[in-house]
Amino acid sequence: MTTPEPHDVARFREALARLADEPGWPEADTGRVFSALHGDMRPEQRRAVVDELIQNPQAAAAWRLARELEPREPTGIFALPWRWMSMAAMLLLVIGTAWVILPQQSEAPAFRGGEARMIASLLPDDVLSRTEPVLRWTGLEGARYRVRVLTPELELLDEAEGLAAPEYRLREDILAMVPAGGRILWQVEATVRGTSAVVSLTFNTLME
Amino acid sequence: MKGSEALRATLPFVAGGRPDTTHDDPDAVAITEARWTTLREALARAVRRQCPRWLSDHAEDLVQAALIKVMAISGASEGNRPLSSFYLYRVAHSALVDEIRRRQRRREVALEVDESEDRQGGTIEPRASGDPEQDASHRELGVAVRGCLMSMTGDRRRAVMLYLQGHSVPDAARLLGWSAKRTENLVYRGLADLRHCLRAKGHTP
Repeated sequence: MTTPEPHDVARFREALARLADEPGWPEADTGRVFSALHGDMRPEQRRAVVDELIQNPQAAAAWRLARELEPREPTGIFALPWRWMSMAAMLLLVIGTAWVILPQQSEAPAFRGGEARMIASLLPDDVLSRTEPVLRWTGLEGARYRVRVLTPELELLDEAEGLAAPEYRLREDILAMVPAGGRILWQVEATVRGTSAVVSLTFNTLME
Repeated sequence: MKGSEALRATLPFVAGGRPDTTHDDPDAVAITEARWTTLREALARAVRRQCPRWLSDHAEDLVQAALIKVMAISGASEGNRPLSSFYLYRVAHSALVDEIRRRQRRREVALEVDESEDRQGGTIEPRASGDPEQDASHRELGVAVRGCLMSMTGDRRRAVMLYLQGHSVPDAARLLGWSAKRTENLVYRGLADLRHCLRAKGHTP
């Protein structure tokens, strides 16, 4: 509020906070409260958590604590790698997009030397079904795969490595974090013993 | 949100699962140990970035407690759960809250948050509550405020609750997914409803 806080609000606030000191309230789910406050929970889910704060003063206390214990930004030189990682991920997306678009506009290369070692998505129309949420890609002989799944905001949703087959099934709890019609970004890295790793483009897939 | 960038940063790969040092292959043992060292370092970072100064002497114990939580959860999921940086922050937070509550119970004091103090100086250190009469008065008013909030319409109730939790209107708007204007209206009307309800219950705001 732009106007000064009404004088009685501090009393209401303190009185409400004191309720948590009373015995008998159920234990609060501190992880859920932390996710609601600091995570990417959807607003409607967060509103449900706010309703719990009213129902259960222990949850309200957990909320205040989670707010007070908000993770601090890394400072100084230690902050740089994180920022560079974000910038690198963004750059990768831009290059990936250009990689997909540009070949359609240019002429075919005059010749191609050696075996092309690239990974392509095998998802039809880049759409992932919720009933069969399996990411699939073209395989390389003898490769082990590492797959990373991110939100469009580049937050890591899921990651797996050492996969022998060129596919990865998303777990239900990961699916639950992506709304219908939402998108996920995913990328595969293939490692074949004795050769350099092959990294795919970043695929942008629509969730059914 | 100050720490949101840190939470959004993707974690250098850390695999879930219990450390398996019984493996015969020395390479596998080395890889497993390296992963758990990475996990421990990530948890230590998560604890450091949330730990109030008055608990910082116990940061190592908190990292250990968080590590045990991760092991328990990884064990329950048969070691296949990938761990995001946000997940590790959440586990570290849970370990911190457990410790704060443990101290609160042990010292039988109320947990107070004084927002005027810098957190580095220890804003959430437990301190003694007021006199019994004042406590009783607060308790009675608290019960009435909660009752009034529960009787309010949904969106007003939520807007006022976040406001009473100490959030500014823009912050509450962001959390609830509404515009600042709408949230401000809801808070304003909600507080009016709250005062009216409290008066009806015999409390003078």
